[in-house]
Amino acid sequence: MERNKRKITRRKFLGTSLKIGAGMAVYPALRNLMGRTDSPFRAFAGTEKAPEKKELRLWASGTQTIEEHWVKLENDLGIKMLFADNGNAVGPVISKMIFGDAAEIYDVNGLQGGAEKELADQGAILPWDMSLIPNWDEDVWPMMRNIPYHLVNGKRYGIPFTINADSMIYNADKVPVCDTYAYVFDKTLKGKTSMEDYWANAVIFTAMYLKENNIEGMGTIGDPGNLMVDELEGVMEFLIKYKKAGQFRTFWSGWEQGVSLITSGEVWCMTGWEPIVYAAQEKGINAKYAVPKEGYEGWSNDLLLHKGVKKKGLYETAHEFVNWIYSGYFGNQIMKMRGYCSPTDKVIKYAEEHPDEFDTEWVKGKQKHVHDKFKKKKGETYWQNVRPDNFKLYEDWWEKLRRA
Amino acid sequence: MKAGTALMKLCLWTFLILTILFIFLPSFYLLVISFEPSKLERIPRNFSEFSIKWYIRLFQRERLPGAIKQSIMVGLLTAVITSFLSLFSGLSYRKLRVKSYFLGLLIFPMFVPGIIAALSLSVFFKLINIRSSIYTVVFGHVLYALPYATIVTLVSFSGLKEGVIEAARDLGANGFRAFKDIIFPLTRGGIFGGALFGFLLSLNEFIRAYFLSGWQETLSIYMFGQMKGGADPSIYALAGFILSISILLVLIAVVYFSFIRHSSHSMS
Amino acid sequence: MKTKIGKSKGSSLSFLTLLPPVLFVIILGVLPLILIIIWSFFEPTEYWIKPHLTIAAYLKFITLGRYITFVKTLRVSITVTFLALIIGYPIAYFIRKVVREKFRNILLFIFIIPFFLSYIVRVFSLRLILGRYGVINNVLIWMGLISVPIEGLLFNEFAVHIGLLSSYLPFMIFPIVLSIERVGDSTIEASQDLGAPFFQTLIRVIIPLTKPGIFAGCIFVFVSSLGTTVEWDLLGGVSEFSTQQMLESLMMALKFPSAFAISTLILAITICALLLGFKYAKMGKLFETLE
Repeated sequence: MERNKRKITRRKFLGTSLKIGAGMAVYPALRNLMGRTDSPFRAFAGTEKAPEKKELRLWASGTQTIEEHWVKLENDLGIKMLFADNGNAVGPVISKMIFGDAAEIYDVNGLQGGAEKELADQGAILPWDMSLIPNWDEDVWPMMRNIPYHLVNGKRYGIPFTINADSMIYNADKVPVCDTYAYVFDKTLKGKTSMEDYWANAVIFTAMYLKENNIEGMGTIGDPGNLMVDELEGVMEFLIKYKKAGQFRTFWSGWEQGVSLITSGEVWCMTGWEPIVYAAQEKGINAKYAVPKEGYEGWSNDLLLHKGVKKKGLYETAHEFVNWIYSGYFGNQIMKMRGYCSPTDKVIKYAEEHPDEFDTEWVKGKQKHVHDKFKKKKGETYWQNVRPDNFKLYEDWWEKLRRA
Repeated sequence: MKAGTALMKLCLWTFLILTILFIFLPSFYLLVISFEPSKLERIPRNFSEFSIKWYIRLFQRERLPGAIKQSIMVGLLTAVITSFLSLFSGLSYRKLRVKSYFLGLLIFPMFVPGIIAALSLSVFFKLINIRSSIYTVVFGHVLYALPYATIVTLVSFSGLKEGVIEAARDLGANGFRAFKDIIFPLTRGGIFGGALFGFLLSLNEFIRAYFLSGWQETLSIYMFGQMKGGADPSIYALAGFILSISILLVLIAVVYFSFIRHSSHSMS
Repeated sequence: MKTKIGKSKGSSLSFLTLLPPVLFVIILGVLPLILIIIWSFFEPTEYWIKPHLTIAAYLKFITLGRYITFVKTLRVSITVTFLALIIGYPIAYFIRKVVREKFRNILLFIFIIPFFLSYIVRVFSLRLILGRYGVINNVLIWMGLISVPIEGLLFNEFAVHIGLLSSYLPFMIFPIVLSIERVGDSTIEASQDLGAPFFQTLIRVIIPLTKPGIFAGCIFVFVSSLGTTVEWDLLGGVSEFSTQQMLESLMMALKFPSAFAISTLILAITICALLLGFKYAKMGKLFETLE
């Protein structure tokens, strides 16, 4: 009885707060309508029914937001974007979704790929209904359709938000050529190289280097993004050896640190993200992005559908949003603002149709550049997975490395 | 004044100024680089290069005002609740027989690692069906700041002389009067100090805020995201802005106390 | 109840004022923590834990060498606390006893200004200052003292110490300033009238009277140093790894029992230290009012 009573009051409370929330959303819309001089109903705006405005809460990495340009989404579909930063911190994001109520507070997530299975198994995210996303068509780059960790039990839980293939950033004034990961481990660059402070990342680069060059008999590595127990041991022993010898200046984490390491001259060569190169160039540093013979490390930042959308009636809205993301405008804007790539040819199509909005040739060049990285001209693309099968063992080794 | 004392005073002043410089060096550096027009984190090369470009950009940032507002709200609520709770502790502490257990109970939460406290509270709130919102962050922050505030308040209360309170009682002052007229004036440093600790610890706290907040982010979450996911130098402009205002306040206070208040009356 | 509350007239009132903080801490602090302690004895499952009692998580603390990280973090925190006390005490004394009253609050305000700035950018700025081509190296080169930048300023234990000290020194100063309130000018004069040199007055009179402030300051700096990750992350480089970083790393890999076990150990150790302090150093009497 007691429990029932509480449930009812909670529901009541929720209902009231929803009403208040809706009121708060409608009120500015009404005011807008009344304020617009071209509205014929200006005087009677109060009685006119305001267009229903939906709010969608996107919880994603700060690299994925197009800030004030979300207004285009509002104009196109009447969906108001409320963006919140998840810091792209995979651990805390998952914890907050499982142990907290992030799966209900936010509607769509933008998270580094690989956590799909874990979140889906625990019911925090829902599979996407691809029939509601018509823009997911032949324009989407083929290699983006079958990234293994996007599917769980045959259902699609992850859709690429932005993608890229990573290699090394180097300061061309200090390191003239850089076409292999060997430079990160080069003795002459001792104390001037760096890797990302995250096991899934540092390990895959090292494994690619060892595998492709067959160093220390490691040519037998299967998938550098998902190492077996003994492969992992070999890779980590190698890393520990170099770390102990003082090869790395530091490990870096996050955009701001990455950019500043290169621009401040602390590091001459490090594994990292391509937009850091653009940022460093903008700051007058002769930074370049390596085309390594071992290949690239591919990653996708994925759109995940939170379980809370159904209750809130935003299931269709979330799909409309993703469909909009794949319509091309977003891809142009994110490339222009941050140098990240949306993997669909609609980006170029949009730019061609709207030459006044975007520099068509520039966008074409950038999209093609990213696309070609996946075409295996030079080496393989290995997918970075934030949750390899042996991830708990990865962490054991990472602790050991940090203590060594 | 003896020469020795003067020399010692000089040494202490030098030491004080060096320490202030040490503490302020990072902040001042932020202020200086915030005027560099390029995106480089460096000191502008010459005076003509100084630019307020990033300050203008600062006020155009979309999510920043909301985050600042949220942080101030959380901070103020934390400060109020924390200072009341610690004041209560201070008041009852004098009379307690089991002081050490009480003290131990009140300060142990500060030893719980932040991420564990955040996770355990998050799970706890979920178990008792409380949705995360500004209030859950405030609860988390009060728990975090309470030990600090309690200790500061207790330090301040330890300066009270028992005789003074007893004397007030003997004169017939009731509990509240004794507090208002005697205890509060003597301990307000600790009480305000407790509130200040509450506010500042809350303002700078990240992991509990991250786990416990509703969808509205706080300033520390916003800054974390900016550092992780690509910021422009307007985050330095924010630091520069706060620093400039603070320094301005200090200067006004110095002028006020040196020239204006000087003539009117001496301080109590 | 009777045994807990003193005999004075105000006992009912002090019981009432006692309740809110105690209840708050018990409900939001103790209860969730009991869960954590129990869960540290559970077995990990794929994503969470299951109620199968084991001390595996505690054994791993030893066998996987996690204790090394813990001991190191403790060592650094203790060193920083000690340094902060040595620097902070004279400053606090100076602010309270030498500086004129009207400027005292201004000075105290100056010490808290940095806390209004985001601590992440503050520490990040320190990294730019200490770096290879940072302010310090540039100044030293400009002065002609060195020709090659010093590499050892950043990304090592030294940098972590500097970062922690610059962040948390004000935490030492405040409580000591408050506690110097207890030392009346007359007390110092009386001691000096008896012919005691200042140093002796300091040791015999001032320091014992300011013990509450010293205790508070030390515990603030120690706990903050123990609980932070930013200074370690940004200034420590590859080799510096703190307990907090280890905890975050463990949580990211869903090793919950291990993370809970480490927290339980930290708590157990601090509670033991507090109990010893209460028993032998009479810490319970620390905050008693003066007679």
